[in-house]
Amino acid sequence: MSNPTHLQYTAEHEWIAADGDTARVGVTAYAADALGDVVYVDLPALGATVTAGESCGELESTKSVSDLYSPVTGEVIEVNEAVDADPSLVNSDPFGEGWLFVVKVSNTGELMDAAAYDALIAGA
Amino acid sequence: MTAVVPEGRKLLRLEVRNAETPIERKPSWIRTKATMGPEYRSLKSLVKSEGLHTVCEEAGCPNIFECWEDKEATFLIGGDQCTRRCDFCQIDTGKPQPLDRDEPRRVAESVQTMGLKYATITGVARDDLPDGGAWLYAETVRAIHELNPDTGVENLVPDFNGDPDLLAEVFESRPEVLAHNVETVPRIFKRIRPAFRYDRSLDVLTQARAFGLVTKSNLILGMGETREEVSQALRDLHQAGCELVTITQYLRPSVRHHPVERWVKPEEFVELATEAEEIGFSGVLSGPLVRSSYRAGRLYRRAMELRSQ
Repeated sequence: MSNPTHLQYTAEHEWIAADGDTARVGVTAYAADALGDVVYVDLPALGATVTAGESCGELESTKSVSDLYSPVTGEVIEVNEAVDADPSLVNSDPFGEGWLFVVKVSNTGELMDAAAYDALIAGA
Repeated sequence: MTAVVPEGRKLLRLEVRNAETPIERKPSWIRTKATMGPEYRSLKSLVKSEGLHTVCEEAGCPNIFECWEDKEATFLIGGDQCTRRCDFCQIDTGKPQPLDRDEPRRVAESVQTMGLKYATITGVARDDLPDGGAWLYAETVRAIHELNPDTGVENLVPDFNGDPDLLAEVFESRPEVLAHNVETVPRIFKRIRPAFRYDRSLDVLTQARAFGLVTKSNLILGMGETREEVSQALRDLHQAGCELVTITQYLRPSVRHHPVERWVKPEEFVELATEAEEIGFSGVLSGPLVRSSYRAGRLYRRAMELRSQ
């Protein structure tokens, strides 16, 4: 799967879809593949403040529990209930139905475009 | 629930039964940092471009990020389809590809490219081959040694049905460490590893020791065994001639695999390590996320130091 060009990416393997001052956040296919089958998700609460580069939740796979980092700073205004109910969406559709949460952004962390992210994960 | 597994074969009744128990939440002490750093990415590229497999990927090991960043990886030879099925193992069960006689060369070259001083190898069971894969396991060790004369090789092998001739062929390649894992205790052995036998696996270790090799084995805890049974297994292993041992926590690969019966606390792993040392093992690694090949080079060096004291 090549990484969608309309999204931006972090070195921590998250993607964001910016829309005005809000951003939808998820993890990339590369991350989902490395994590293994996701079995539980702990997403930040509605209304919670998240900080760019800091852990805001957890993704539990069959083999481990990993921190979920926020790529942006702001207030969580939406959380994906569907992923909470069916965590396998993170593996089957990481860029679509597997989205995790939406933030009203006050600050972004370091972001890169799809080409830069492709190069990063190609082992360049 | 689907009636076929991801690799396409029908579910066993056992797998259907396993799936009645939902996936367990992990205790607080089981965590890893999934950081895909530069060495991880570079190794992933290398493995893919060489047409190789690693047990790290195929068995879903949680330590992959830590180990690969330290340029430590364990190759999986014989392809990614195993002819047997153990109830704890994530590796696919299915019909393997024909024997790839070029694989040993590519593994040896990858070891060279990675600059490894200690290479760990394991593989799938190849009951489809007349020799059970013995040539492949032996040749891989030989190829690594030839191309990388200063590199130690640890070979984690199946049982070749205990056949002394096939085992001798494997032993003759003289890996620095010959590992064969019993994994669990006699009472539940058949349920967990129906294609293997506890006594036969102990005998593989005895034969390897008699051949003059350093031997190693592994136990997976949390599949229904009791603490006393673990202690007995450690004594059995030592008695059989096993020198190095790793003691680990079972992590359930999927809902079709054996449920997790217990989460062994870190303190208990520490106690078991002490117990194993007292029994007389020259090298022990014990912890929830320890695995057979985890930090194998360090364990071997430490054991050799202790041996020479």
